[in-house]
Amino acid sequence: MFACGSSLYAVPADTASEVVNVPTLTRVPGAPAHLLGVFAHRGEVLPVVDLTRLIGHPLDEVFKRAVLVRTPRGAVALTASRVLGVATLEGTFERLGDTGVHQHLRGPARAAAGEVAIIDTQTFVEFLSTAG
Amino acid sequence: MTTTAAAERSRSGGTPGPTRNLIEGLVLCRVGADRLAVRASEVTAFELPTPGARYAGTGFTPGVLAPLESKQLRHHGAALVVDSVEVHSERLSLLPVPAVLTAVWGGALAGFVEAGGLLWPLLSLERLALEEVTS
Repeated sequence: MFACGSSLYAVPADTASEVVNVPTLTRVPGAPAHLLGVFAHRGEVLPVVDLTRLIGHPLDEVFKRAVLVRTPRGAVALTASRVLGVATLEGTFERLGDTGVHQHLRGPARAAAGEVAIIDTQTFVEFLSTAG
Repeated sequence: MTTTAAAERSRSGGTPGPTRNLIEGLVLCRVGADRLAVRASEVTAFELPTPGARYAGTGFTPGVLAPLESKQLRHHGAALVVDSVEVHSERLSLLPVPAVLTAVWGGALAGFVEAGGLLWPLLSLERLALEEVTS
């Protein structure tokens, strides 16, 4: 579970590979704004996705950490303002919207820190791959 | 310019190991604050920018004027304008494109290379030319 801006997100623990420090990024000209750039990590190129831009509420925050998510479709590093750790969540797990990225968020789930949107990582990465 | 994973394995004694795609003969380009690389073998001409050519520094937005000192890389019918170019002859590992970036540049993002301690997106001029024809 992690915070990005004022929102809380969670990813299934089996897809959260590690928390990484975000180095200086290499921008990819022509990439969508939510793809902040890429960096090399253990011989692999990892894209960094700014969740605040993706949901349409961009912040000026410079993200220093990211949660690395791995799925069969690929890996992405999701920007994090704070990493809150592993938690068991309760609540509803309905789609939070019918369009855009909200199709791939489920909830709201409840945690001590507040309401949490759970990222359906499998379909989320698929969505990012086709969102251009 | 070659991509020589098999040849490299052969040179190192033929022991199977992690497959590395190697690439040599690159043109490293600066575009504003950004960087990109293209295979030297895909560049058929270096020339002065022509009107209407894509300027890579603005996310490939057509019709945007490039700075006066810009260089144009041509691959047959396609042309790409960048700010500066540097030929790089060392052999480098070609790193694959992350899934979420496969659609960038109409699929013309061919990978990444590390040169001079920096990561460079590798653009396929050939695929960019095809994309221009079909778009």
